[in-house]
Amino acid sequence: MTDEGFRDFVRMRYMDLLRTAYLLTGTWPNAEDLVQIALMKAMRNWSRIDDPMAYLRRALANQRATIWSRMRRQPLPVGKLPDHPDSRDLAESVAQRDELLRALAGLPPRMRAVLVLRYWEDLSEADTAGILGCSIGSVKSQASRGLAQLRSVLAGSRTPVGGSFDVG
Amino acid sequence: MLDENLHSAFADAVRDTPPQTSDPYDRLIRRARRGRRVRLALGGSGLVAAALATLAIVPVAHPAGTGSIAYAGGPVMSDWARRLIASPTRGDLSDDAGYLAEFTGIAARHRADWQVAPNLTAVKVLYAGDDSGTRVVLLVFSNTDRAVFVWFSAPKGAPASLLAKRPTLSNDLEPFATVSYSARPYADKDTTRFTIGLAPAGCRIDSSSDAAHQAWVPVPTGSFAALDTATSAQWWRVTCDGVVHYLGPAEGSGVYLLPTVTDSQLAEALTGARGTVDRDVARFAVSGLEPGTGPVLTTGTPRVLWGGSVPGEQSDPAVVAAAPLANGRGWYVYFETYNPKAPGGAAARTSFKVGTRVALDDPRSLFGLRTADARSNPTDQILVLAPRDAVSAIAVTAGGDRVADVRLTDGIGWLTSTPRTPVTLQALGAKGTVIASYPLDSPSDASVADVAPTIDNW
Repeated sequence: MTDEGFRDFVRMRYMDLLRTAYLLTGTWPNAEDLVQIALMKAMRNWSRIDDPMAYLRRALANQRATIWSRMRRQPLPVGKLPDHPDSRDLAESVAQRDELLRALAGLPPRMRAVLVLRYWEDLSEADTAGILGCSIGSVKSQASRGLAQLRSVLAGSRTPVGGSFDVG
Repeated sequence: MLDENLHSAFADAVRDTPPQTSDPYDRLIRRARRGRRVRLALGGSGLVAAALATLAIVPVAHPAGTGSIAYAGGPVMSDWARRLIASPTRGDLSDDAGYLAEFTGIAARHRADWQVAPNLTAVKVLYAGDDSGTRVVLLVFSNTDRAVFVWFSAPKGAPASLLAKRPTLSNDLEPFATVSYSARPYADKDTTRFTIGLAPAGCRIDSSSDAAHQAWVPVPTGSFAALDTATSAQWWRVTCDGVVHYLGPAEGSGVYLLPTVTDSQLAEALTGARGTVDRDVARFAVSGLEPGTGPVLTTGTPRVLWGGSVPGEQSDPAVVAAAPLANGRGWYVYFETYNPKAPGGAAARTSFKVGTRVALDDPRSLFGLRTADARSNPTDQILVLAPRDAVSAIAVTAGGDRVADVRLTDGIGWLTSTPRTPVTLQALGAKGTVIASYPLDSPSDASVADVAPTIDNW
């Protein structure tokens, strides 16, 4: 892949990476920081990278663990409500988001990464295990325990459009 | 369905993605370039490894010729870097087509010895000139995506074959290429010093020597500048197409060899030193603080503050020396330790330099130096340099919790498990009263020796 390809890749996938990083870190500035660190690493090795998204996901998850202690000292974002006619819904939405982020912040980094890769990136257990360098069994157990810890938060979130809601 | 609900919750959480006001690739490149500058600015803010040469540039002393590749080339990070490569050769030798052709040919033949990637097929001299008694050539191996930057120096008037014997290679080509050199390359000659700044053709360089950097004067050579000092209070401003892209110190990454410290100079530096000082380590540290041994300009006589050993480091001698910063903002502190029995003699084990606002010549001052490991990572160990009558030192959190303490001898002691969170050091007198305090890891300390440019945006 050429360096021009790297430029195109960054422009095309930056926002996807940023969203994943946000779920891993809990704040947009930290997410930006994480994505840029991972991309700079990718830039140096670009010619040798076959699957850029897999590489970047791995870099995000692993770098996430190394800078965890620095980030967790920073406060989680507090939702600021804009003037809006539907402010009650917005307030509820912001509160739920903050609660989710707070709950995620309470998980071990590896467990959080499993949840983000499995349920945001929609990766298979095998792919998640490959990215995190662990066994499929470990992914299963981490996902199960992570979901259990988020249960109360998820129970309060809104039902997906057109779907049902079951905490059982 | 819990997992489906989690996906929905995640989607809600990332819904308010902040608007992107600029090209993410451009932001990434700017950050990568800032990182390069920081790495290259020996002695900038924070803990920086000290060595005889700045770290990202490696002089090639012994051509390998093994077919391996050490220089695959760094990404050409902006259109300005491409413009620099495309620019005509600058310097007072730029019209000597025969010399340039001969030199380029020699460089092309030696590229394997220098371990330059074969896919960097273009070879071009960017600058060639005789400056301050030294012949300097800057050359680039490149393709459309990557480049290796090489510079050479030899006595003024040197033939191409001699010049090509002293390559210094780097994978980092900046749009504003700078090189500083301060050394005695030919053992029987005087110290050679020069600084070259090379901007893309069409850009204009102005220089300023006043403290506030307000009075700018265009350099007569336009898009390049050559100084006869490796470190200088001078600043450069580079303007291209009406936009200022660089505003900062007139200095470059480069090589700084350490001057010889005489016995009398060492004796003067050792006056007032505490602990047990190893003279060889002290001499090495003092030489590394002399003006002209790095981009951070010091002034006056360096002094040795302490000598001894680091807890847990067996008996390896360590020294802390310091010199006032020429910018008047504080002191430049040099921590040096080595194992004199290691192969090669004075092989440096751990060394770094930091700035501080603490007036280290004030006997009432308190300073805490967080040491770094061999990879420049900060450790939990703090060397406390307190007033001589202080009997103990404590580390206190913002909430008033005492998190570490140590008894002092002659005002010196080690805090060996100090957390890497904001704490204030306090030196206590015999009656337990606080006689001096110092905010450890203070951000204001980190900037006093900062040599980072104000603008570096390409």
